[in-house]
Amino acid sequence: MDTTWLCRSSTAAPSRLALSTFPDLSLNMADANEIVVASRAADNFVPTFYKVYDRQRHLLHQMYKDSSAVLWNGNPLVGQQNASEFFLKLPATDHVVHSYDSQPVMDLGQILVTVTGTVRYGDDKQSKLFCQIFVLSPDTANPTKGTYFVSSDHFRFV
Amino acid sequence: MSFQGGRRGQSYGSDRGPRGGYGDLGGGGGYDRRGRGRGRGYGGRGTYQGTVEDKDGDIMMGDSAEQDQRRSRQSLPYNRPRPSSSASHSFNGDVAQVQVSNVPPETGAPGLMAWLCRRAGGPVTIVHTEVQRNSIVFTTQNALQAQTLAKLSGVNFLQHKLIITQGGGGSMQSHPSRGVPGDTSGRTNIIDAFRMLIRSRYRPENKFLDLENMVSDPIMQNAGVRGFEAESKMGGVICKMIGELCPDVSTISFASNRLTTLQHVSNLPKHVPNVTALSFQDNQLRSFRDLEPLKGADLPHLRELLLIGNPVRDKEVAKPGGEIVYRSDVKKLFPSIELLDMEPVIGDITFAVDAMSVELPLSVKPGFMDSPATAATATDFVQKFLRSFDGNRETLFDVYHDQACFSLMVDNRSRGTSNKQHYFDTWRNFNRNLDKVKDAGQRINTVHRGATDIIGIFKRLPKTQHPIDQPEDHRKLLIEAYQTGGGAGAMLFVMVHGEFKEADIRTYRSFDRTFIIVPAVPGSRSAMAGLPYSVVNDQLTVRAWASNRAWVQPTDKATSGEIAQTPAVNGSVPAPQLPDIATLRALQLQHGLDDARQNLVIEFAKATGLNYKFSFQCLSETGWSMPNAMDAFQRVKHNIPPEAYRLV
Repeated sequence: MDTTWLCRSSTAAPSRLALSTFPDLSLNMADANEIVVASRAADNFVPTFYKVYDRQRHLLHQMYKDSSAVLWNGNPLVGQQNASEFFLKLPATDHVVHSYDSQPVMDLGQILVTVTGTVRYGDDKQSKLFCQIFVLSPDTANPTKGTYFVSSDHFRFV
Repeated sequence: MSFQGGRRGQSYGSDRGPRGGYGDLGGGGGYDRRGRGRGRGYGGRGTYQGTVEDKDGDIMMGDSAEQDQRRSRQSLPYNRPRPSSSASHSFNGDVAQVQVSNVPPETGAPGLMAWLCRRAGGPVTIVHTEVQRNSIVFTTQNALQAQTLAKLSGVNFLQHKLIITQGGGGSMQSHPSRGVPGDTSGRTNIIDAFRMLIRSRYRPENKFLDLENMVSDPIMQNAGVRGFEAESKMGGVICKMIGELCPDVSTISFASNRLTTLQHVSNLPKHVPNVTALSFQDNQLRSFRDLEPLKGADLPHLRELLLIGNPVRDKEVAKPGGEIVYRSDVKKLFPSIELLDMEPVIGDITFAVDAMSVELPLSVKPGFMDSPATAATATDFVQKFLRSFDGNRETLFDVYHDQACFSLMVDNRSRGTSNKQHYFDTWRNFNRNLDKVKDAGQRINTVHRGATDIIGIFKRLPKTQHPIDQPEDHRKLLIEAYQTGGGAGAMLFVMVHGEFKEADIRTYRSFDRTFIIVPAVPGSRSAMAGLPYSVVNDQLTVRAWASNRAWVQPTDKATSGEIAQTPAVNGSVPAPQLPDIATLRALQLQHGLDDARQNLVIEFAKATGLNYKFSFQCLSETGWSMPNAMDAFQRVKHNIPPEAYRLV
């Protein structure tokens, strides 16, 4: 499984992991592999996502699809177009990531990513704490390329 | 951080030309340089090559403007390259002594000397060493070198805080420590001691200055400082230095300093107005009058205050009205606090909303639910789940799918409101913050898979109390949910943000938790246990407590997702929470009310169901006008805590 993004390619995660690397694990290899892939996906996705958000906002929509569920502080943004328009209306942002975690979701190849951090808007002096939860899904339209897109994006000031 | 220092040391050490003495020991990061963000080279090759750049490249530890000036005045002789170790000449022709005390036993003079010279980072030549009973006196080539070493005072050497003073030998013992007014040499020493103390106690990575029990510090003992006496100016000096040495400080602990009044720290707001947390735990503050000199209004970002272990707290809590009155009175003195004595301060009938100077295209909305069915399912799930999580986690066994994942991460960078270093100790072992956890094995081991593993890890997590069952608790949790897919492929996403109390250490924390829930497969454990769904993903984030201000707006209307009912003003008014006549009379005297106002309070309490204390507060803050008070009550009633409706 590869973890490249629709908007740009990034370092690929290892597609296989030798069992001998973790001899003492009770998890089977498939599980371990899934977790490693999900972790690497988050490693690649999180910095990329906020970099694009902060510096190349006009490209941000490329990470979404029309079917994506986007929720911003309780406001549902249906469809890529709506989300895209909203993103472009936001003032300049500066995100600082504090922590992130990821998990594989069932057997659909989806990945749950949770991020916390702070965001500052425009020239606002105060930054706000946020929590953002993503579901990344394999892009079935391009099965061979092994790319992902943001199928769910839940953002909250916390 | 020491790694950084070492690396820097190496990088210029290797570029350096040959020099005598402790030739390969140059460099090394100073203990207090980390994180200052000055961006100014402190070492630099120039130091050794005697170029003009030396002026800014010396190794002095100072950060204040005053020191900078002194530094540039001194930079020329100071940075003069040392010709060779054998040279006996020095800048001023006089050798000088430093006395290093509080040295660990069995320390060899050469080892300590080499270590100090390395820490000093610049050319220091020791021409003579004398080992005394508890100290070692080094003679340096000149006074400036001695001064360089003295600047290191307070540095930790093998877990001992070294006290380094200029001058040496026997005469040192008597004079520097008295601090008699007018004795300039003594006062200078005390000021230097404060400076060392602040430097050695500041943790820039946490923006935390720990000034707990200052007098027990060897630095203070050496300087003869015995504590905050009533007329002492020491507090003022310390506050000024805090502003100079750590202007970015966010949390300061003045715990256990036998403070009898906050007069000592009354100029703190002037020097560090942005401080967010203050601890005065275990001091001798006896009354509100002792708190008043520190003007809370001048500390707009102060979010947390700790007064536990002070007579004022014990005394006030013992009074009628007890803790509620105490907390609300402290809140009046420090209007911005959200956490007092480690518990959230609620019930302030004010309209504080995070002011944002930048307008966003959409406003913050209450919890989103894509349908009433989702709302019902998600709300029911969250309540039942959290109740079991707080009560008996084993009962959650059947809720989890066999392939379910659980992991938790700790965000310990969110708003430094804690003044406890061990703040997340109880959670750290389970932390899967991928920003920190890079080891693949550890990353795999911190995802817990399947019901057995998950319940196993749940039993090791700290005990929690989520706000579920009190009438106003729904304000403390934000639940959002939506469904994707349909039929067997349906998934319910449930996101919860809110707070819980970590029961064993009486500490509130905030959390974010995401559940992905699927319909229970017929024949699965969940289905056989009579559950309509199974949890396949459960991700928990634990962070420092933050209020619900980020999502609760005073104008919020009840939404479909809300659970509990709010006491209504029209219709069924709750029974008025008023005590008997004798207690009412006592409360009237306590609040100094005339009969007219007393009657207003009683009337207002009867109309709203609020108790005496909160009725009083609401009226007093709205100018004793019944209509205004009613209006205020209507506006904030969703944020009023349950105890406001409780008889006190």
